[in-house]
Amino acid sequence: MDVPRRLAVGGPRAALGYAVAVAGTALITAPLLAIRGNVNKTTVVLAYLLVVTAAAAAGGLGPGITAAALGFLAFDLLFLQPYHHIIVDDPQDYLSLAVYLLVAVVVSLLVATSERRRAQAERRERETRMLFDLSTSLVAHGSLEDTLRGVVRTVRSLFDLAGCAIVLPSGDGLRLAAVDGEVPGDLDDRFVGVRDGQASIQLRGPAGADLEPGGALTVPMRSGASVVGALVVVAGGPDSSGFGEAERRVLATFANQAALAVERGQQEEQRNRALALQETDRLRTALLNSVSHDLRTPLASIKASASSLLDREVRWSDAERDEFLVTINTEVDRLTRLVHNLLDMSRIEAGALDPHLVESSVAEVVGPVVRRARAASRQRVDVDVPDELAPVLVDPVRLDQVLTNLLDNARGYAGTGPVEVVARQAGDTVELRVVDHGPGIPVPERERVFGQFYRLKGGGRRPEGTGMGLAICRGIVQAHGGTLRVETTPGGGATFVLSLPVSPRPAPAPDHEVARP
Amino acid sequence: MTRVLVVDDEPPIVRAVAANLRVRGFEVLTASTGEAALAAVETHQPDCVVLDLGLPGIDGLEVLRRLRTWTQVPVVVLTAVDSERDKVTALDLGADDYVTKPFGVAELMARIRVALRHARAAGADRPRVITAADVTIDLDAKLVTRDGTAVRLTPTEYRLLETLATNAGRLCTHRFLLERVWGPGYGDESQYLRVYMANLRKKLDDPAAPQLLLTEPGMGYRFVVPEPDTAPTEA
Repeated sequence: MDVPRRLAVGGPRAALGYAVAVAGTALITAPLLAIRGNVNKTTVVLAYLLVVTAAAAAGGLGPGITAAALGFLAFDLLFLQPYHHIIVDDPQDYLSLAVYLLVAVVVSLLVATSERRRAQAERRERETRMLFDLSTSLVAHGSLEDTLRGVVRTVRSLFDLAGCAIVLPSGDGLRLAAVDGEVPGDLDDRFVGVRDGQASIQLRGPAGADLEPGGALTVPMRSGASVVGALVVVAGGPDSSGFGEAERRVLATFANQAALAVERGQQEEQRNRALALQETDRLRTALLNSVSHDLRTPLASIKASASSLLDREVRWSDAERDEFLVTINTEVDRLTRLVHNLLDMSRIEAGALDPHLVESSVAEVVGPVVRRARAASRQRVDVDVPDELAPVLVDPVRLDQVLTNLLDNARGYAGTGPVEVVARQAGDTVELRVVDHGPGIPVPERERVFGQFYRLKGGGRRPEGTGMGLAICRGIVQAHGGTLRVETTPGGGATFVLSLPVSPRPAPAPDHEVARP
Repeated sequence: MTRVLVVDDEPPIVRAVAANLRVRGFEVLTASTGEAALAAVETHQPDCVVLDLGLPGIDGLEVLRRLRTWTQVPVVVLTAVDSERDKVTALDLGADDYVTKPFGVAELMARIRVALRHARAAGADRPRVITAADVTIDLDAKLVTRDGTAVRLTPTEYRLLETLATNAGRLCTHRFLLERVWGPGYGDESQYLRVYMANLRKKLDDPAAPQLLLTEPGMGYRFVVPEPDTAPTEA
């Protein structure tokens, strides 16, 4: 604020100053007048200077000058001969008047200036304190959203606002990143919009004059040349401190600091995104290595066997020839299984599994799977599927695939022990359990077994599977709206729990027997 | 009888390779893990090892590293197509050759024969005169002739040729050649090799279609002595 304007303050302080000037002059004049004959001129001048000092201190330069003028008139009219006339008899008195006026004006100036300096210092201190509080709100929080929430809260309480918000560009539009209190609903109209996705927004219209209560002010958040967002402040009730030049300056400074915080947060987000991408890349590479190894191994066996058979230099015995052919046959099957699994996996990942859902009874699906398992080996398979289970909505072919896979796994890990298939109603779902009493799965591995290309370590058993079986099972079950998890079998071993939603359609009412008459 | 150890964790491959070796008159040992392979080499002292690099447990490279601390038994490694770096590492570690999976059995057999021959040549008194097609290298006289005419070589060119020729049939990696010819501390300057190999080919070979000095892209060079009894194209 400019010095001349500040020296001639308006408002309540100036009024007080003028009151001091008028009342002080009157108060001093009355007793002096009573003893006019016995008081000397120096005493009178000093007394009026006292009033000038008080008025200037209370109200600045204007009241000081006013007090000086009043004092001049009172001194001239009431205490210098001839009384009640501007002119004076004694030429020396002109000098006294001139000196008085000069001293009075100088005193007014000095007092007003020092008063102004004091007020400035006070204001600066207040600004500094505010900025400090605001800056603290910038560093004290974790994520960008938290930081911005802290910022709007601090701004609102410091400026005694009705509301405060931060608006950031988002995609093609704007988003309210943080709000505290009430903000106008027409925020979108206040911004021209985002400029070519450069994380920069332009403000519409000037940042208005002193705010009326309920009026909103948008403060740009600048970082370098670009505006990364805006701070929207809504003035509070009539008692709020209002928005003077000083407050506005603090807000502008602070908005720019907040801009830096926003940029920092955005950089952090970018870094995190990059890290996540890196991790995805790493996983993808591991997956690719695994797939290429799994594809190449049977190919190598087939190539070695076939090229042996084709070698004209060698005479193979029938037994040797058969072994090569068996190898080729087995490895082609393995390759086929792997390709099938890979196709299933990519269907699941693309969300293109599209199960053909039919209302089916669990027993109908479990039956053939168990029959095949019993036919394949002499391992015991116990089945406990009650008749009264509600029907489920499934693709029977896919559910068969899942159960076959789970049962094969269970038989593989159960050793010579029996495996069980148990179904139970559990509220709106039917839970199917495939239970083995093998070594079980350690708790930390519980989720990982459902990952792609996971194979349980140890056991000395050469993994025959593709490492995709359980991932595919879970994918299929999830496509049915169900879940697949693994638990510990009481007494040891693994239990795979397949939970399927019950068909929403009510089962047909059982035929009522017609009452016989 | 020549004894060959076949190390791979895939039984069908071991079976196929073993059958082919047996039918050609080799005695065959097999191992499916790195540990078993190390033990078998120690106990049975095979004449050649066929080693898969992708073994469970101790991997093939580590097996090779440990073998090379005490034996120079020829090793032919089996690798995947896309693990170029493993191939070079294996050769730098002292593998004699490599075959990429999936491989034709005939190719593997040829590589095993070359490795065995090279090992025998290294064990016996080395021939001091090497003849390959129309080129003759007299190692004692440091004299190289082509069609009976002396060929002038710079000292570096001669050392490079000598290194390749004394390892005839074997794939010499860039690092191996640089360390032998330029000295330890060299190893990454494969552009030197390109320049000198080009010069050698101009003087001794057909630069457009090399017969003696073959390039193994990205890995190294091989000096081939064409022989009537084995097909040279295999090398």
